[in-house]
Amino acid sequence: MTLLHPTPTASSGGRSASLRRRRTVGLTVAVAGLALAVLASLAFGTRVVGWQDVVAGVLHPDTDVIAQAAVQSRVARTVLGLLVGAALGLAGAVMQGLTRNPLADPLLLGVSSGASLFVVMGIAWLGLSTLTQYVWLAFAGAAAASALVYGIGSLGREGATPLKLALAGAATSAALSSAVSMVLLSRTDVFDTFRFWQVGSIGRADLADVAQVAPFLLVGAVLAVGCARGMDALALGDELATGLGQRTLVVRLVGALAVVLLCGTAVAIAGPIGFVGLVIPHLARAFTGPSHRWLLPYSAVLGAALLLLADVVGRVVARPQEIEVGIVTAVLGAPVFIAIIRRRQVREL
Amino acid sequence: MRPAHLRPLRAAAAVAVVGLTLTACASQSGTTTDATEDAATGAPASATFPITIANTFGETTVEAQPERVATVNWGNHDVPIALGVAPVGIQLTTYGDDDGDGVLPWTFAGLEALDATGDALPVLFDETDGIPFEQVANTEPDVVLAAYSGLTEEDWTTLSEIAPTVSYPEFAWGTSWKDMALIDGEALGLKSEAQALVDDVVAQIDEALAERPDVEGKTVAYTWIDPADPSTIGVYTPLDARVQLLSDLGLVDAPSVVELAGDTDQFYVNLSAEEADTLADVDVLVTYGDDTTLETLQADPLIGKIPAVERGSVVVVPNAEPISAATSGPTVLSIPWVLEDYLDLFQAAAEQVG
Repeated sequence: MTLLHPTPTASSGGRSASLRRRRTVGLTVAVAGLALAVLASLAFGTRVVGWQDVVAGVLHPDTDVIAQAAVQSRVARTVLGLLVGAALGLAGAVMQGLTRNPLADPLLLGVSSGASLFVVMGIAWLGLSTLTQYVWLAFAGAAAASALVYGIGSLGREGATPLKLALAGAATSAALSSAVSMVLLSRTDVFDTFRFWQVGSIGRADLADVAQVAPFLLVGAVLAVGCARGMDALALGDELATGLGQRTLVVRLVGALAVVLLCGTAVAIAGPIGFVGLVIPHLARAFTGPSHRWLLPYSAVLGAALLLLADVVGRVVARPQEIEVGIVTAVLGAPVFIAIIRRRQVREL
Repeated sequence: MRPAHLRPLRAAAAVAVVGLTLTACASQSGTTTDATEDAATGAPASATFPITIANTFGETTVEAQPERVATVNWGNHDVPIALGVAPVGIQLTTYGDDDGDGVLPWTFAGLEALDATGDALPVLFDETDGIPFEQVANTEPDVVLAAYSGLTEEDWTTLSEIAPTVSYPEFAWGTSWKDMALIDGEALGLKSEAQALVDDVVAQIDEALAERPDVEGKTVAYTWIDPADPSTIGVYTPLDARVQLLSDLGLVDAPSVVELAGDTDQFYVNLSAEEADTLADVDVLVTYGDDTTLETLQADPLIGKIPAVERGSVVVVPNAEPISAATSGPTVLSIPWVLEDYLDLFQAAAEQVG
């Protein structure tokens, strides 16, 4: 399988010094990139705002000045973008690690679509309306979709191979997205309100909402980091991992729980956003190598930076309109992903 | 699909209003009785066929007086009904329906006046996910009316294979209620009758406006703001039929709206809430919502900066009420039905303007 990332042995031996340097430099670059993204997210938007108003808008906004009120509204949006981007980057890295599948992504493997479907059904048919209700629905949908995809992907003698998982995920994702459209079409009256669940947007950010979902993300992140060592072992194959003393089933279950928490929360508050979880771990691996203890924090930082930058692009390119971030990540993410795949093939074939 | 801002209308239609519409319909069909009778006997009506009507996709030729009339998309059915012709098939209304029968109250009243309810009710085309062409073909129409519509060229070509299809003259969803009446009416050979109908509605508007002196001349922006995502303000362009109705009601498109629309051929553009003060020149802001909407908008740090919102000169067209369906896709039948209530909202908002 040429697309699989290199095994941990590639990073051992005499190359460890250069790898350490690469990780340090990479971390500096990633954190600097994130800082720039945060600045850009606060400073640039549909409205052109002077630096003085940006500073005042963040520190002590005079909300009678529309420029400062605009900056103030970007603060919540930026915090939400940070959290959602980090969650998606982490979730992607965990999914790729658990399934040993370089194509794993919350959207591609159907997890986000499952969460969306449950949220949309809950709103259309159960009349649910609060964010907390959406979050639990999204968890249920994400878990159901993951179980379904893993179940279908595991059928047959050779178990859950990366290829079968990717196929099962793509098929499930397509089916669930159609189901979302079906629900929305049966209730055209709710269509417009829920369109952001089809494209993904962080424009509706509100600090109270963010505070409500942050604990779920935190738990998800802790669980994800907690199974980093286990995922390193999984990369060697289940038999070797078991031989190294890892309980593979526990690692998979905890990892899956982390993915459900991270993706479910992200979808509940921002809708399904693709490509962040897919592209970011590949980008991170270029700095970190395959070690998950490095890969996971990198993916969180880079995921947050990518999502914020994508959101800024969406706000700036279509003035005075805005483009939802889910559309921008797809437009930016697809070519990056193709480039990654092509480069890897050239190197490894 | 029709813009999704037409909410389901759960409120039952007020009996008094239905009664008024029935009277209006009766008098309207009275004026067109001759033409209808001619149509029934196949004798020449007020126009000579064939009639050729240009539309955005090409030309439509109606060879002879149509007897079986099908209509697709929002509101077109009201035109033949107002002209005394009961259609064989019309759009099923999935929103704006007060009683779940798939027909809006004023349309139902019009059909009732033509004895076209119950077993004689037209076939209802479910257009939720596109026009059901087979169902349309099964009604064996002589003509398909869609002067106000969002037909694609492909839709039009397919429909034209079924029967001559009248589409919009220039822009999707950009046909005014007047042009809808005149174009759909022309295809039935009843253009002058349609003109009389339009004149009658205009006279009713003038009469109602005279009682509400503050409405005339106020600048206006018709918006859609999603309470779940107030980062974007949807603004209907002057191409849109609901905006054109406002012009007919004596209101003026705010210069900012005209500039925002630019030369778009869309009925709708989005404005980021960060640029909310673009709408500073708006006297009366119109939006969809409920009792809580004005308060929500005023509390929003960006949208609350729009002067019209700040001072409360906002018309909230109630979601889930017949009034929003009647005014979002106005027709010669819906306007008389809704006129007084709608203008009351504008008079109240206009009084807030300094």
